[in-house]
Order: sequence, then structure tokens, then C-alpha cells
Amino acid sequence: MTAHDRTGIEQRRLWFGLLGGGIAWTGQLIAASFISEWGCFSGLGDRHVGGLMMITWLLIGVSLAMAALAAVATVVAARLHARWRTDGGPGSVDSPYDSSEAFLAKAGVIASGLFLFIIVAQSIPIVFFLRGC
Amino acid sequence: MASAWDALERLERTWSPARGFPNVLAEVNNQPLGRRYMLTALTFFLIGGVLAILMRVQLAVSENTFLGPQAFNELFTMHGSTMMFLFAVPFLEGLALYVLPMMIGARDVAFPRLTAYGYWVYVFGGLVFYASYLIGAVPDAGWFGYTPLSTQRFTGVSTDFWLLGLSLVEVAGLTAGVEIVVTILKFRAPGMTLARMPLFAWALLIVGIMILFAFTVLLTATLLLECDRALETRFFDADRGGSNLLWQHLFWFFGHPEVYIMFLPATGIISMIVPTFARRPAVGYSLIVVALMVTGFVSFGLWVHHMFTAGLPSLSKSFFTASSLMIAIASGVQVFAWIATLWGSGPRLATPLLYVLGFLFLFVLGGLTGVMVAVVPFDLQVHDSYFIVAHFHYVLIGGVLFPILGGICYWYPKVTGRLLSRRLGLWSWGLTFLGFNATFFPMHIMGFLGLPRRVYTYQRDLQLDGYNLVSTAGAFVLGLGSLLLLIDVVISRRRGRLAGDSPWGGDSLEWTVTSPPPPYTHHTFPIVASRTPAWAPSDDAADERTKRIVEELAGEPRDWRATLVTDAVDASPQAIQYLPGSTYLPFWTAVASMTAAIGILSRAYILSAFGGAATIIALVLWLRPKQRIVRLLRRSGLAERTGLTVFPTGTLSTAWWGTLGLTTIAGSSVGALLYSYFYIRLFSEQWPQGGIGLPDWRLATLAIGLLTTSVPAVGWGLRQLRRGRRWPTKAGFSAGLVGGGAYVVLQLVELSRLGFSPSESAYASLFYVLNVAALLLAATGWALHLAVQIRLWRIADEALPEATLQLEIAALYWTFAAAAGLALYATLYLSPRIL
Repeated sequence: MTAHDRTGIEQRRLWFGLLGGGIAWTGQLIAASFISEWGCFSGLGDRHVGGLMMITWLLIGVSLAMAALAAVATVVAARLHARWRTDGGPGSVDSPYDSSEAFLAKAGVIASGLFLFIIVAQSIPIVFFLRGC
Repeated sequence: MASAWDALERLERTWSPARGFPNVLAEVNNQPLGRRYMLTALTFFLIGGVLAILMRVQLAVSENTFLGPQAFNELFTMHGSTMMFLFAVPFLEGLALYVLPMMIGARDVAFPRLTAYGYWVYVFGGLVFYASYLIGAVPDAGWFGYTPLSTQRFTGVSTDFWLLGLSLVEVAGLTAGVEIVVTILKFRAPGMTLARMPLFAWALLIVGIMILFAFTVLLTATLLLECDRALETRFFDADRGGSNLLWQHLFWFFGHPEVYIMFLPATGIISMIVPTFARRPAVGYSLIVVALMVTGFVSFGLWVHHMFTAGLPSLSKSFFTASSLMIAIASGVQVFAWIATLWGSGPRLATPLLYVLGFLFLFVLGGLTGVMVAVVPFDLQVHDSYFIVAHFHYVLIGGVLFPILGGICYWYPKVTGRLLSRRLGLWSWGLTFLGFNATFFPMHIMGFLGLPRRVYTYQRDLQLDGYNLVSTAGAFVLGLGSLLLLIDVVISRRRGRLAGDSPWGGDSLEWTVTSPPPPYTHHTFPIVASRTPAWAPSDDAADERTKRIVEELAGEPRDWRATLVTDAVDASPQAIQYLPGSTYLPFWTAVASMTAAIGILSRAYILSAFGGAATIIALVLWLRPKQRIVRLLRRSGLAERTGLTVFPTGTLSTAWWGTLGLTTIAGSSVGALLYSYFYIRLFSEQWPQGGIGLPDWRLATLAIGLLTTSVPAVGWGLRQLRRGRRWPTKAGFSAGLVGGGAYVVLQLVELSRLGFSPSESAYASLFYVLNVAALLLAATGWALHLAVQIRLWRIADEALPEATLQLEIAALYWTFAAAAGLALYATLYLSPRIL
């Protein structure tokens, strides 16, 4: 693997780390919106498994998948940030403090971490409080 | 010395704005256009303010007869639409266009002609909007235009004025969105990494991206509604399988981000003013940037909180409640960062900072009531009451107007070279702050007491006269406060004290140029080495190559407009971008666009077709490569002196990024259409609706097969071009031309042999519109391919590198058109067989 290839992979990881959490949250919200409306309209809300509605199980599944995606993005960003905060990132001539790569990795840790929190927070009512459509 | 003066004079002459009529119509430079945007927006602000005062006069006492219900409906529709579409967003766009190049170290924005087109389309949109008063058909269905109230059954041509005027303004917004994003990504001064970018630029970058998605959805929705009204399609006709809730979803998918499209630049203004007057860098720079990003993302996930009373499932609402609460975290981070920056700094209490302090107080109040209305049970109680009116005015006036007024006070000396009057400023601020609170705070109480919004009067026994009278008196005080500032703006233009280059001692690059700035903005491109370049100017950190490039480009080129292109991430110099000078083309293109809109408005479709054709011709003239410029760039010698290309291609070129912006817009529109299809599908018992059979997949499959297989051929042609092989390049692109041509013909055949009309049902309407969208996208790409083919066959071998950009753009667009075509095909022909 050449240095150029390695830089390309790291750039892709960086953007995933930065945007992965937001994309996961978007996916959860859109999927949850469609599943809730379609499920309640189609009568799926009347079917229960293990004390929860079928729709709720679907929503839990989507939420877990998207939470996992956001968590991976946070970890990826954190690992890049840990490395780049000392050397500034691939090919950077700027100090770590001012390098775009190190800055975006740091932003990725905070943003994806916050989106992970939002995904979890959005999932709490469907598991613990809402029992019907 | 004489030659230095001569060089400066030539540079000045090259960039100077055209004066006198009709030359002003040809101006494309960001400074005059930014000023015009702001002045036009302020004019609409005054008009919108007068409409608000008229409403308040009507509501001052119970059972008032100053206005009738129809006039009141018209006033709140025009007031809301004017403030949202014609004032706040265009003003901030104008400010961005004016300030951005100065702030990031560029000489102009990325697409000067697009700026001019956007400005004229905005003006014409506003004129179409207000022309409704001339024929007494004033829009009256609210600024949200809910169906079925806004359908042909309930409103006449008034809603067409609203829809078409708005469509033009949305197009203007989209042009500004592309402009802002590409300018920030590609025109930053050397050394201005993303970690050193001013917070105002960060806010604008995020807002520019938001505009591309949000405005496109509204534009698509307004076109669908206009189709329902003019062509009898059935998207929003519940009797024929359509959905009124679909309009609400589409509108609010735009409408909520719209609030943040106004709010984020406002926070950017605050983030520039606070460090200046606190005389220290912003605390929590990284956190503020992340807060802006998160707000931009999450703002798209809040739209349903405008629809809590629309009968959606509780499960669905719970997700949107949580998102609505979460956005407070991001906003709160910014508020704490500003307070921390000010804390203990002994800030200088100049007028711009007073507006910031007013903002902090009012926005926090508006934000708190925002958290309250995000909670479903509370929202069910206060929905459509004056509590909501109070809430969103605290957010919009407190959160947007106050920063705008603060921004006017802050940058006015830079724009005019003169200071505003401090005394008038204090009076204006005081009256605006007091008047605002007197107007809107009582509305919280009136809302709790049950006063519904959008009613032209109320009964005496509700005992709300006192609150309403205070509110009306406050509106006059608020109006007086705003008017004082505008008077100050006019008077100080000639009589204000001279400001000097940096009257406040700001930390960003605009304070390093003269006041007012020269038309070329930066004579020498600055080298940025910190987040506060005006406080710590230093080019020591720059490498030798950057220093040499900057030196070579000092005051160069003198006889044509150009700026330095840098890397989108680390801002290292990449290329020199030619920028066009004055031309009437944007103006005439805007006139043609308006003609097309007026044709639809008056149901004179021939006029509309003429306007559409004229727009296309103007765009062709606009975009065609000019040999004169190619020769000019070749002879300039700049490439040899700087080692940078003057024919940027791929990601080095602003045109490539512009095309990416265009495909993002078109992609968002396709996304909105697909959402509409599946939304209506979701609530239909039978699919396809109305006894229409499943679509015949054979011809469509052949067509999409030809289209998608042409993409690898074009990609192969592009690779051959990069290797300098002329004939294989032609072969690859010819394959694209043939495949695309076949797709367009087959799509036309498919549409012509359908056994149903678009008026039969919502499904039929969707089937037609989605197919027409695929057809238009492919036909545009095909026309683009034809144009580059002609060029490819005509130019000499040695000129091939200069044609590379056009071929790359054609290939990029072609890939997008095929992907969109595939998505639309899968939706229309495959999904009914699976779902």
C-alpha cells in the first residue's frame, strides 16, 4: 500500500468520523418516521411480541443499528484525533492546533458522540413510555 | 513609482463597478451586488413592518373594524412571506456576498454572474409577489400556504402570485447557496485552514449547504402545488388519492431548517462581534463549530413539531420531540461560549455589542419557549395561539433581527468608511428592545388565555383589550426604533465621522483593508497563520512556495479579474481562477425567467415557453467557452511565474464544485419527489390507485439500461482524455451521447403511450411527474454532451487540456443523471411489484 493510498483511506475515515453520527441519526429519524406511520396505518400496532408492539421492536432494531453506526464513527474519529493531535495529520505543514485534519477529527469526536447521545435519547420513550400508536 | 501607480490604476479600473444607467444592470462584482441585496432586503423589511403595524392597529381594541377579515388574511400572509422570504434570508445572503471575500482573503465570490442573476431574480420575485396588489388578488393563504386552502378550489390567482414569486426568490436563494459554499471552500487565503476559518464563514458554509437541500424541497413542493392548480394534477387532492399532509411535510421540511438558515448566520455575526469587543479570541471555537454543524443537521429533523396537532402517531411524534429538545444543546453551547468570551473581559459597550446583549436575552427567552412547545402535550394546548406568535417572534426578531441590526452597526464603517451616530444608535437600540418586549411579551399571556392567531378581531368579553393595546403601542415603539437606525444609516453615509480601516479593532481580515474597501478587495493575498489574522498578522509560518505565489500575484493580474484558488481543506494555493467582468447576460436571463413565471401566472403558456426558451438561450450564451479568454490566459504568463495553472480542472476548478452544487440541488429535488411517491403510497389502500394497472417495465428497462451503461463509457472516455488520447476520448463521450439520446427518445415514447392522464389520481400525477423529471435531467445532460462533443471535434489537439474541464463537468452531470434516472425507474417500475 502506497503513502497516497494510505492518505486516501485516512481521508475517508476522517469524513466518516465527522459525518457518520449525523448520517446515522438522519437514518434513524427517517426510518422511524416511516415505520411509525406505516405501522400504525397498516395495523401492525395491534400485534404484540414480548409485551411490546411489533412496531416498537422494529424501531428498537433500527435504533440499535444506527446507534452502533454512530458509535463506530465516534471511535474512528477519536482514534484519528489521538494520532493527529501530535503530528497534525497526513502531510500537514500546520501545527496540530491549526491543521484542518486534526480539527475535523476533533469535531468528529464531539459531533458523532453527540449524535450517539441523541439517538439513544430518542429511543428511550419508545421502549419505556409509549405503549400504543 | 510612476509605474506602480499605473499598475494600481489599471487594477482599479479592471475591478471598478460600472456607473450610470444601464451599466448598473451589467454589474457582477460582489461589493455593489452585496450592497444592493441588503438595501433591497431592507426596503422589503420596511414594507413588511408597515403591514405588521396595520395588523396591530386592527387588533389594538376588541371588535375593531379598521380592517376586514379578508384584508387581515392578506396582511398576515404578505407580512410573514415578506419577512421570511424577501427580507431575512436575502439580507444575510447580501451580507455574506459583501463580507465573505474580504473576510477570507479573496477578491470576489466564485460565480460573479450567478450572483447578479440571483439578485435580479430575487428582485423580480419580490415584484411579482407585490404585483398582486395591482390587480387586487393578494395572497391570503398564509406564509405556509397550507392545502387545501391554497388549492384552486379555495383561492384564485392570488396563490399563483405567491407560488411563482416565491419560486423566483427560492431560485435566488439557491444561487446564493452554491455561491457561498464554493467561495468558502475554494477562495480562502493561503493558510486559512478549516481550523482557522472565521466563525461567520463556518456558519455561512453550513447554511449554504442547508440551503441546497431545504430550498430545493420548497421549490419542488411549490411546483407540485402549481401543477395541481394549473394542470389539474392530484398531489394534494385527497379525493383523488393525494394528501394534504404531504404539503405540510414538504413545506415544514423546508420551513424549519429555514429558521436555522436565518439563525446560523446571525450567530456567525454574534461570533464576530463578541471577540472584537471582548478583545480576546472566541472561547470554545471548536465547540461552536460543532454546535453549528449539529444544528445544521438536526434542524432537518424537527419539521414534524409543526404538525403535532395533525393526527400523526404518538410514536412518530416522540422522535421529533426528542430532536427538538436536543437542538437546544447545540444552541446552548454557543450561548455559553459567547458569555464565557465576554465574562471578565471588560467589554467595550459600543452599539453592535448592545445588540448582542439584547440578542442573548431575547433569544434565550425564545429558545426556552421553543423547548416548551417541543413537548407534545404543551404544544397541543398552545398550538395556533398567540403563545406561538410570541415564541417565534422572540426567536426571529431576538435571534435574527437583533444580530442583523448589530451586524449593520458593526460593518457599516467598513462598507461606507464612516461611523454611525452613537447617540442615535443608543436610542434606536433602546426603543427597539423596549418596543419589542412590549409588543411580544403580552402575547405569551394572551396565548395562555386562549387568543387564537390569524383572527382579525376578538370579543370584548375575553378581556384582552389591555394586553392588545400594550402590544400595539409596543409595535409603534419597535417600528420607531428600527426606523431610527435606518435614518442613521442614510444620514451617516455623508455626515458620519470617518471610521478608519479598523474602528473596532476586529480580529478578521476585512479589518486589514481600507474602509470602504477597494473594488478588488485584496491587492495582495493575505497569508493566514492564526484564527485572529488581523490581530496577529504573520506570514512567517508560510512555506517559500506560498510566499512566492503571493508575491507574484500582488496587484496581479491588472487587466482582467482573477483570484487565487486554494485547497478546500488546508487552503494551500492550487490555481488562478479567471473571473468574468460586467455583462448584461445575467440580467436578461433573469428577465427571461420572470417572463416564464408570468406566463404560468396568466395561463399564457406560449409566453411561458418563450421565457423558458429565452432562459435556455441566455444560459448557452453565458456558459459557452470563449476563445478570447483562453488566449488571454495563455498570454498572461501567470502560470509560468507562479507555477499555478490558469486552466483549473476537476476539484481545482470552481465550475466543477458548482456542478456538484447543481447536482446536489437536482438530487434533493428528486429526493423530495421520491418522498412524495412513497408517502402517498404509504396511505393508499390500493396501488396503483384508481384501477390503473402495474406499469409496463419492458421499454423503461431498455431505456434505463442504455442510460446506465453509457456512464462507464463516458468514464472511460474521461480517463483517455487524461492520458491525452483524442480519439478514444471522442469514442467514450460519443457512446454517452448515443446512450443518452436513446434514453430521451424512449422516455418520450413511454410517456406518449400511457393509457391514463395525470389528472386521474395522485398515482397518475406522480407517475407522469417522476418520469418527466427523469426525462428533463437526461435531456439536460444530453444537451451538455452535445455541446462538449461539438467542441471536442472542433478544437486542435494542443487545446485539448483547456477543454478538459467541460468534459469533466459533462461526465459528472451524466453520472448524476443516470443515478437519478435509476432511482426514479426503480421507484416507478420495480417498487410497485415489491412493496
